[in-house]
Amino acid sequence: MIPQLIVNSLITAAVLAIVGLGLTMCFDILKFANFAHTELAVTGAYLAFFFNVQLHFNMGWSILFASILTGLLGMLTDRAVFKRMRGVGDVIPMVTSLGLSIVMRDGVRAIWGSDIRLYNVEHSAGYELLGARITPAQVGILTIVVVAMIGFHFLLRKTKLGKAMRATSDNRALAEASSIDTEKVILFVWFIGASFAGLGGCMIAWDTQLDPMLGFMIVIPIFCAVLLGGVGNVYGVMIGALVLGFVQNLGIFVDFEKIVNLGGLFHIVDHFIIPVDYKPAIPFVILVILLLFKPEGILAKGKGK
Amino acid sequence: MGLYHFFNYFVTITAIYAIFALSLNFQYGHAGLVNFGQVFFFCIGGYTMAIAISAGLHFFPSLFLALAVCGFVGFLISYTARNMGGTYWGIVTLAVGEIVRLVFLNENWLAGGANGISLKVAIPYFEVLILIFTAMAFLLTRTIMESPFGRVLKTIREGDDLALSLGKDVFSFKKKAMTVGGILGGLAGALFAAQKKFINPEDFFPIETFIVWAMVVVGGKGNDRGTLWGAIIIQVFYVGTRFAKDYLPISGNRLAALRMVFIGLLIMLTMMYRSKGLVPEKRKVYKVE
Repeated sequence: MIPQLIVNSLITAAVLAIVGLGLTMCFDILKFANFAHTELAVTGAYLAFFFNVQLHFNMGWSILFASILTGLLGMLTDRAVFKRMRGVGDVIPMVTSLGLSIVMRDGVRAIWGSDIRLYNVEHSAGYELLGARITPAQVGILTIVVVAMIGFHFLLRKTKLGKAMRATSDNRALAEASSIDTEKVILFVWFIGASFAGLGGCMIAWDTQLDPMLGFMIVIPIFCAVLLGGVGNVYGVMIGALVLGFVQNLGIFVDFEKIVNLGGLFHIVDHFIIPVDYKPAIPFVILVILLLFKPEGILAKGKGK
Repeated sequence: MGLYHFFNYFVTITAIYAIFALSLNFQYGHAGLVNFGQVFFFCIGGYTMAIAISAGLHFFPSLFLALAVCGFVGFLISYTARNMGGTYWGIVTLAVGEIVRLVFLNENWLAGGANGISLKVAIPYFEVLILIFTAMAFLLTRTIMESPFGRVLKTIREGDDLALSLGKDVFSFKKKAMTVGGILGGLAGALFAAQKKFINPEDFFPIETFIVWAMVVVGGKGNDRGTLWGAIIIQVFYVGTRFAKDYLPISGNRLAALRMVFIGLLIMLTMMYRSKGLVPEKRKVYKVE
């Protein structure tokens, strides 16, 4: 059972990290919480459905096209909506993003319907690996996410653009003074963030199923991963996603008897196991506790120099 | 549904949502508290009402209990606003709203879980009573906002610093604002449950929060009259389009989705082009003698 839990946790973490990456970058540079970010993931997933099922492309091309289109859509939302809101505080863009999230979620529902759908891929039983069952889709997901993350790392560290991105995120005014076109950088951040979100959406839908409510189901876990890692910390969000993935999958198997009985001080309960119905609530509770006591995240915002 | 019944339904549901919107406006419009989980008051108020009535209490004691519980919940939740600002608090409240709904969904002993709970109440002239409550809620928020307490809330809305420099205990004002907002939200929830006579967790999805946000944003934040207009506009649209499927070649499901797309667009466009809303708040100038 333990190997299976590890596999499941890794899959959860992989998709949380890839979707959360764009959120943490936009949150950091534009200083507002974009509630529409996870809806980009759903839009990406349905665009892949469009290419895969409606146009009969194979899965790889469908995911690629869907991610690129989602990236362009992210750039479009910035140009059309959020660009006019630079420097008006965090509440107006946040409420706008709430409106945008409704438009995107129900736009997907209006176009593709509310029924659960599947991609046109072969669903096989999967392989046995050290006692865990892992499907080809899950192997694909882990591979794609790891490749995307390593690619992103090189982009951020080894290219001029990555340097400009880091400079903009550290201090926008100073970056502008150093003749960095920060608007161009912001646009690129939207492209990367949105296309990664689209990629993550395809991964979730590939592993499970397509559902228009998917974006809403993951919005709080994604925020939780971002805030665990510290806003703007792109490596932090990966670690936050790993922590959350394991806590969410292992949390329902741990006996909290010791904690409830205050380490043997009392004898209130014999066993205390979180009921499986509350599994979706685990990230919510972690988020609330985290923000109450350590709003800056577990990892300090050490973005490197 | 006859015309009379339809009109009756429309007026009561609008009046209930108007109270709900006033409660959000009190927190967001007047005190600057970005609450994305407003539905938890609606939910807790509705469930308290339902549980109290099935325990044998009469209408008014149950209502009073619902208000007390929601006021207390608002007071408790305000503690999360102590050390965090707008954005983070918005995310926390959204999470708390979902936690509350999950508790009512999974704890079957409490209020029937997914099967919901029915309320056996029959109040004469209930519609009139709801309208009276709406008027009372409106007058209450108005009176509070005219008072010195209300003026401090508006100061806090513009940022903690000014209020702090005037020696005001910002956190204590936020606590009171959340309590009042909770009582009003609970009133809306309790009336909603009594009017619908059956509630289950599906009545309290976060989408309800977003609809009242649309009402407050479109109507004009910080202006109670604007909020009432917002509630009417959104409800006319929301209830009105329910019948459009009889005339349009479109499935009910798709129409429901398009309706929400429109509400989302309304929020976006208002924020983008007219962030003060249709009925902007009147700026008051106080002369110091």
